[in-house]
Amino acid sequence: MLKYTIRRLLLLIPTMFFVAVIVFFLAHAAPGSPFDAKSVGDKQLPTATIERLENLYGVNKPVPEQFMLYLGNVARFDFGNSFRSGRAVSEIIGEEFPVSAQLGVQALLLALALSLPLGMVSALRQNTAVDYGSLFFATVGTTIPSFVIAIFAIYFFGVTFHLLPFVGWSTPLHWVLPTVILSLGPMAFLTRITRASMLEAIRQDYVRTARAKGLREQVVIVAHVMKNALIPIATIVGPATAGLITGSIIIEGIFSVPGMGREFLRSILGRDYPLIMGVFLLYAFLISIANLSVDLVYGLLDPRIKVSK
Amino acid sequence: MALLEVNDLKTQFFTRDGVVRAVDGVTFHLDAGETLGLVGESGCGKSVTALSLMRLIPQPPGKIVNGQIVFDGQDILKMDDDDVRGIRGNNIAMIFQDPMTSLNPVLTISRQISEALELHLKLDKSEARKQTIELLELVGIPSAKKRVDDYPHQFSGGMRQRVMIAMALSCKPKLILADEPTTALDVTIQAQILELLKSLAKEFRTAFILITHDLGVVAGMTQRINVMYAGRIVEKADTGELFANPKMPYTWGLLRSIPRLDEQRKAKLLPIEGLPPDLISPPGGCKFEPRCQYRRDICREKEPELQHIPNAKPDHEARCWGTQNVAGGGWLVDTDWRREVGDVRVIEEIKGQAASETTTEGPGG
Repeated sequence: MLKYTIRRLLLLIPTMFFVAVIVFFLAHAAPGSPFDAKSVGDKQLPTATIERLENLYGVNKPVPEQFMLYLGNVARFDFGNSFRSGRAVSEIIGEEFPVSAQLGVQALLLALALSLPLGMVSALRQNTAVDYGSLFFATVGTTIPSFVIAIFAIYFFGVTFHLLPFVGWSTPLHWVLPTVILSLGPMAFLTRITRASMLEAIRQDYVRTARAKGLREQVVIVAHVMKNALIPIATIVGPATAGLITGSIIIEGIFSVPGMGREFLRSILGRDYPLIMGVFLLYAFLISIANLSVDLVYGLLDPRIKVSK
Repeated sequence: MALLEVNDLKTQFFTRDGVVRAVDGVTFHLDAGETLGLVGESGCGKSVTALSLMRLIPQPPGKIVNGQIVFDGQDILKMDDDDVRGIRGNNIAMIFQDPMTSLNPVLTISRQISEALELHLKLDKSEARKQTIELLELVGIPSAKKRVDDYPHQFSGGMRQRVMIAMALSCKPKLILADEPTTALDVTIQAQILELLKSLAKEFRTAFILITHDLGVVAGMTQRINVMYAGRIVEKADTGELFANPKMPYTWGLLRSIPRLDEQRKAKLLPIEGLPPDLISPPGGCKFEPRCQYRRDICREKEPELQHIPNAKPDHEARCWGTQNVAGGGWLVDTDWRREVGDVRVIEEIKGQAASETTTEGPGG
């Protein structure tokens, strides 16, 4: 297990390298520059100024050369400074990432806390009102995009009834709407998966064997059905986490949450190359870690999968 | 007093296409320590009978609609769920057909066997574990101590069936239902498992109901045999009598379809022509009549009861007009099934019918 984890962590290095190559060259291939009118706010800078700025930041050098310079800096954990604000990328991310992480983790926990019980009850009470209700929720949740729901939520809870604040992240009350809305998509998806894999597991022969032993129905469900049903669910949680990370970009924008999602958009629009690289590399790292954790959990749940090799 | 008495058991499945009469009025009994074979084709109601005895019929769509299952003086069908659970695994245990899917893949062998021990015998964890190891040794698992914490996928099919047997034996039940215990295994392993069951039955004086489609399997294992067809018992006798003097044409069909090593090379294996009847709308007369090469008009008109046969042992009964002394019946009483194959023209007729049925029903599903 430890060996496997170490090997997977080492594999992160080439993964991150290729992510860096692709993002760096794509970002530079996109038309526009950090110093043209669109990027700095509709004021065309004098040509001489642009030239001096380009010289200062080295953006007029050939892209491969820039990349090599960037790599050299990254190896010394120097991610550069944002063109826009001049602050260090690591400082910006260090400030904003905790907010995004909090939002993401809250949403993931909420999604899991509600979807697992809902999916299980739905499977155990198949074709009853509870089941139809949860299926309805699951279908609505997966089909209606979160930003549409967000607008309605802002209108009703924020504007009409003044129940909840919807701008910023300053108090726990501010957390409610973004967290709930962000969790809806994965929650709906996980509910469906949970229901399906419970139904699949409950039909297996070994469940009949367990009942034939005289076990109580609760014991049969908890000890025999659930552990098997969790295996497919665990494989879905990885992509769901990735969805939460990227999904938060839109939600943070809508609710003005001072997280990385906002920075993500701003950095791309402003061709703020160091910031783009910083944000993308962090996202790629997080998704890799999420996938690794899922694989490790998968090995713990299913003895047929040998993680130790 | 009999250990188990089943009276007029009827189990039905309520499906969209109609009511499937899977078990339709089955009556039999079993004494303590006795071994009974339940034989018949796929879909004749053997397994449903066994599951009914433990009230393990999935409900819905299944339901036991009628009958009594008196086990040790108590009617299982009248018990509440708690009492039934007290019997399952404890007094009646079951060995299932497919050992590959009947064990839980994510729990260790030790967990799966100890579970029942902790539940019914109130053993604590370490005692249950000790006993699990003993049980595994008993069913012939080599180095049981080392293997007790393995998972099912680390065992071969035959070993898994041994684990299932150990599980069934764990609480020393009075009755074990073995539902096709060797069907999923290859022939050499089959023999080993049957030998094991036989010796354990003797050692523990456990009553067995051995369910199989293979008359060869029950031959050396059981004291009595019930042959089932279309949810009913069609012939019952003790094992020696059934093999020496079978009376029902369906039983003959089963016997003819066993391949024999001492047969001449050119001899053809004789299948029972046609298909088992649709249990949603079964034929009105004898259920086997459409496939029977000895049939007469009376067979289509009325269904025979399970009755004693004139020139057979007293407890030998068959559900066949040909063996019963009634007006228009009794034409098979003296027939020796080994010497004749029945009316060849009727066989051809049945073949033709079966062919046309499959072609008309085939493409529509």
